[in-house]
Amino acid sequence: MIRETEALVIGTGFGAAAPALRLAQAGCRVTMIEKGPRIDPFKDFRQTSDPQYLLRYLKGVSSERLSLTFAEALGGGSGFYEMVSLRAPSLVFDQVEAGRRLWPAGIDRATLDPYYDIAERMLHVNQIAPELVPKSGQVFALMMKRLGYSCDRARYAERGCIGSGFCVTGCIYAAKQSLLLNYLPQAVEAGVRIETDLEALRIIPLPDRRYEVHCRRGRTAVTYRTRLLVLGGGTIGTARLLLASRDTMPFLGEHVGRHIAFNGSVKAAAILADDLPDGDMFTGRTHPGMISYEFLESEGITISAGKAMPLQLLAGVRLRMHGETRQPDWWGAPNVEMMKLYRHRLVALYSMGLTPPAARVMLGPDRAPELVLDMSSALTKYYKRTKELLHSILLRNGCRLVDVEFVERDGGAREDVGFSTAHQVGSCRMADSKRHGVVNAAGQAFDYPGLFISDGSAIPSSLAVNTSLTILANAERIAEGIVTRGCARS
Amino acid sequence: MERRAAVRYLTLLLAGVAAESCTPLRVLTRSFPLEFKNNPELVGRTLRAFTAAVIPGFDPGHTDPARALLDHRYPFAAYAEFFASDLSRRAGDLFATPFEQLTLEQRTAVILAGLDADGTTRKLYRGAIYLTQVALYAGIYDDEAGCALIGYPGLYRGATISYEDPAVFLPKPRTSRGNAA
Repeated sequence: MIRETEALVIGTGFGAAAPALRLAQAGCRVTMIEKGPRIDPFKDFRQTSDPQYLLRYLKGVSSERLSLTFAEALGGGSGFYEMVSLRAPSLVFDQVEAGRRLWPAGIDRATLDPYYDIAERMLHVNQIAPELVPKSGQVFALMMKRLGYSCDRARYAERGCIGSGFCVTGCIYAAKQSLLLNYLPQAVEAGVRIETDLEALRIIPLPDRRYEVHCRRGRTAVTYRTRLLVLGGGTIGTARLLLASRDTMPFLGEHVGRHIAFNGSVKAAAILADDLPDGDMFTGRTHPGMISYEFLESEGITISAGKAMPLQLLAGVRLRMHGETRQPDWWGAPNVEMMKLYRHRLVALYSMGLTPPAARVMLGPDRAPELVLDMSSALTKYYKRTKELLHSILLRNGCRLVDVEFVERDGGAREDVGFSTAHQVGSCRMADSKRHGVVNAAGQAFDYPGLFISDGSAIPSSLAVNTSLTILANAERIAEGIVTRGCARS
Repeated sequence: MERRAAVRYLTLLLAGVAAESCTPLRVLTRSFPLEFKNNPELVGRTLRAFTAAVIPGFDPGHTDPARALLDHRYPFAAYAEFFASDLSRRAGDLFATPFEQLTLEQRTAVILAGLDADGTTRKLYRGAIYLTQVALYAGIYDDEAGCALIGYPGLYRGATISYEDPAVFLPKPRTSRGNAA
C-alpha cells in the first residue's frame, strides 16, 4: 500500500508537533505517524503504580553507566513529563568541543527567545505561585536559604494544577499541558492526519527528490511517499531510523547516533534534620516547584529537589542508611525503617549539568538500539564533585545521608558513577558543517534536501534544565524556516 | 531515585531479572522436589513466608502478598516453584524445619544464605526480593490501596500541598520569572 502526502512528520512529540501544525496552517497536506498507541488525555491516564501500564508507553535503553527513558505514545513524552518548562540559560549555547562551539553559528538564547515565547503561549507556561510550591520544594528552598544560596520558583506547563502528584503517569485532570491538549488537536483541526501504532522502518530517497518511508503496523506494511520529510521521533527514535536507513542513504555521514548529551543528572538523598519540617514526598507536582541556579556559572549545574512515588523509587535504586551495619541492610527490618521515613523525612536532591555529548547509540544485531557512554576522567570527576556538593548541602543542614545504589541488570546494586535521564539530546545534531553534525542550523540534513530533523536529536548540547521547552522552541524555529522558505511546496 | 531510572528496571521486571544466562539446570530439568511441582498451596505458603521476611510488619489484609511472584506477566513466576523449593531446602539444611514455620530471624538467615550462594541463585533471590518490594511498597495491583506501612495512600486524596507562609521558606531568587538569563 503506497500513500502520498505533501509532508510526512514522523513522531508526535515535542519535536514533531510544531512542524506538523505550522505546515498544515500554511496549507500543506500533512500526515503524522506515531509508533506508539493513541491516548485520550481525558480517559486513558491513571494514577497508578502498575508497571504494565507504564511500560505500555515508556521505553528505555541503557548501558552500564547510562540509562535513557523515552515515550512511545501519541504526544511523545509530553503525556508523561514533569511539565517543567524552562528556557536554556545563555551559557548553554557557549559550550565548546575541541575548541569548536557546539551550537551552529547564529543560534543562541536570543535567537530562540521568540520561539520560546510561542511555545510558552501554546503550553500555558507560568511560574509557580509561592503558595503552590509543594512542601518538599519548600523544605529544599529552606535548606538553600539557610546556606545563603538562591532558589527560584520554576515554570510549568499547566492550567489548574491541584498538585495530585502523578505527573509522570499522565495527568488525569488534564491540567498538565501535554501536546494532546493543544498542538495535536489544533493540528488535526488544521487538517493533519495522524496515524498511530505505525512504525517507520526505513527511508529511501527517490530519484525525483521525494522520499519513500517504509512503515509497519503489526504485520501490515505501509509505504509513504513525500517531498517533505520531517523527523521528530526523538533522540533515540530518529537515530534508530536513520541508522536503519544507512544502506539507502549513503551520504548521511558519520555523526548519526553519536554525540548524545544527557544533562549529567546526579542524585543524593538524606533524612531531614529534626529542625526541618516534613517534606511530603507524595503530594504536589512531581517536580516540586523550585530550582537553584546558584552553581550554574561556577559548576555548570542546576539543583532541584526530587520526588518519586514508591514505584519509581524502588524500581530504580536501593536506599540504605549511611553507616548501617545491620545485615541485611537493603531489605528486611532496616529497609522497612528506612521506608517508613520515606514519605515525610526523606529529602532527595538532583542536579542537571552541562556534561559533554559523550554517549552514542548503535543498532544491535536485531536492530534494537544499543547505548554506549564513553566515560572520561573528566566525567567521573564531574560526577564525584557534583555528588560532594549535594552531600555538602545536605550535611550542612544537619541531614543524615542515605546511600543510593543503582539496581543492576542482575538485581544487584552498585554505588558508583551512573547517569539516568529522559533529557537525552543530540544523536543527529545541528552543526555548521557535515564535518561536525547531521543537520544544518535550519534543521535540514546535509546532502538530503527536503529532509528535516526537528526533535531533541538535533539539539547539540546538554542544557542543565529540562529539555522539552527548548526542543519545542527549536522545532518552532525550524518549522518557521520550512514554511517561510517555501520548502513545503517546492 | 529519579523516575527515569525506573523504566530501565521495570523493564527488567518484564525481561526477567532472574532469567539472564545460566538458568539453573535444576530449573530447566525441573529436577526439584515433586511436592513443589504439584502443590501450589505449599508454594504459596512458602512464598508468603518469604514476603513477610522481606517486609516485616506488612499487613496484606485480604490480598496475597506473594501475588507478584506468581504473576505470569512477570517472568519470575516461571521460577516460583523452584525458588520455593530452594527456600525449603535451605531451611531444612540450616534449621531442619519447613521455611514457613521458621521465625523471622531464621527466615532471614535462610534468605541471606541464598543471597550468598552461587551467582545464579543470588540473582533469583535478588529478583524475588526486588519484585516483592516493588509490588508491596508500591501497591501495584490496586491503584487505591497504596501501602499503609509506609504511609503511601495510593491515589491522590486531597492532602494539603504547601505550608502556610511561603516567605518563611523561599530564599531570594536570582531571576525575575524563573528562567536563568
